[in-house]
Amino acid sequence: MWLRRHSSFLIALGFGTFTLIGLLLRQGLARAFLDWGTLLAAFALLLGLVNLLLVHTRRTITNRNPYSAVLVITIFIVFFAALLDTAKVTTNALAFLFENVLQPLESALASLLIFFLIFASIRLAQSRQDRWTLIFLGTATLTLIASTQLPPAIPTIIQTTLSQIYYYLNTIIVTAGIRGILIGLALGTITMSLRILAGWEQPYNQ
Amino acid sequence: MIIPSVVSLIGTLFIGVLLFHLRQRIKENGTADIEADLKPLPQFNTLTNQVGRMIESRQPLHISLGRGRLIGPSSPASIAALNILNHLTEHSKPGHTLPAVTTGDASLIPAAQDTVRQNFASIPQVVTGQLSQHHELATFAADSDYPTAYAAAITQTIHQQKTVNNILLGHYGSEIGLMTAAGQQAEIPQFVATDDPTALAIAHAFTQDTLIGEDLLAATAYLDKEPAHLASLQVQDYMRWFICALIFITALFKWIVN
Repeated sequence: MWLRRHSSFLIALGFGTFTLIGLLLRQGLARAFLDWGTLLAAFALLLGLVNLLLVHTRRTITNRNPYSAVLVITIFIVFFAALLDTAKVTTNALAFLFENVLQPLESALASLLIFFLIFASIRLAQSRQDRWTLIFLGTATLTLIASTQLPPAIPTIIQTTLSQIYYYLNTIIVTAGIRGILIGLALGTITMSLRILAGWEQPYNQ
Repeated sequence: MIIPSVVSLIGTLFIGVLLFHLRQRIKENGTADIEADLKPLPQFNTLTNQVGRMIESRQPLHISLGRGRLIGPSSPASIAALNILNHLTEHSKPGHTLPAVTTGDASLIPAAQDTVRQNFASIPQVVTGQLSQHHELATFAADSDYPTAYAAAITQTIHQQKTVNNILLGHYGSEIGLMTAAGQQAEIPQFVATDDPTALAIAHAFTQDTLIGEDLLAATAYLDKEPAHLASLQVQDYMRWFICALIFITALFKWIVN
């Protein structure tokens, strides 16, 4: 009974300990466990696809949702294109779909980000007028100006000063901030891993 | 080659022993002292208040677990996101409204579904799997390799399911701007906790309720106040001082040598 109740913890403890020791002392063993994990994650992608298909088929039938219908149809088109490619009926049909449909759409959406950010900054300045907003907007404006090619009419001394400020901002303040965040994350990761190994935290068994 | 490995192993063991000792001490003396010393993070109040909003409005919470994988460098952020999901769903049980949970990595789907299923086991449809159209336990939004596709799926979820808020947890990149913009358009409260500095910087333009880096990993200590989690925060503090001292000594040494 005890073994049954704690089986998931014992499996996690065994694999976790062996992987940790393996990564530090014997790379081959740890690599094998990590490969198994990667293989399982690859199967999970199939699970995700089934989930996506079921959810959106249900939404198409019960809610008559046109977006869900488009998604379901697209899944079948892509699947069919892959089948045709495999059967050598077509060549690169899948790549054609990715390059001519997905990539342009993704690029278009990504390019909208800058406009969303500008509008968000304006709204931020309207709703929250404190020193943090001032620092945020000041830094953003300075970075934008300094990182672009300034017209020759602007005196060289101003251009040099701006690029100097931009350089110090990037190499000292931004880098130090990011490193601080990453060190904090690394410490959090170590303690979380130890909690999982000790069984105090069981994300697999909540 | 073996020396750095042995040093790392000893260091890990030392941290483990320290964590165990501090956890025992907290269990014996209670959590009150440690809780009083915690850095004030009002964002967690905002997060827990979302459950109340959900119960009052009877509209679902939108909780996205990010596009970090369970295997790889972003797994701590994903596990922390799952822990927060567990806390939120546990407390939203009385509302009988299932959250709209979305993930950008398929490996998170079983864990997320399991968490929601266990916490909503009192609803018969959850146990039998007969849920209505908008009440899927957790939905796979898009693959993590296509961030903008993932962002588009989340945007659709926010607008179509008329969620009461937009909670983004785990690992994101710059695509977070598209998701938070959707939340801003829908005029719903937003909460962002991620491990990526770029995503944090972008999210900060849209919402004040952001958790920076390690605060995401400390979420369970603030929300559930378990001795092991509180001990972890203490260990992290000690380690931070140690690293600060190490950086200072190294810089001083380099300055003297030069």
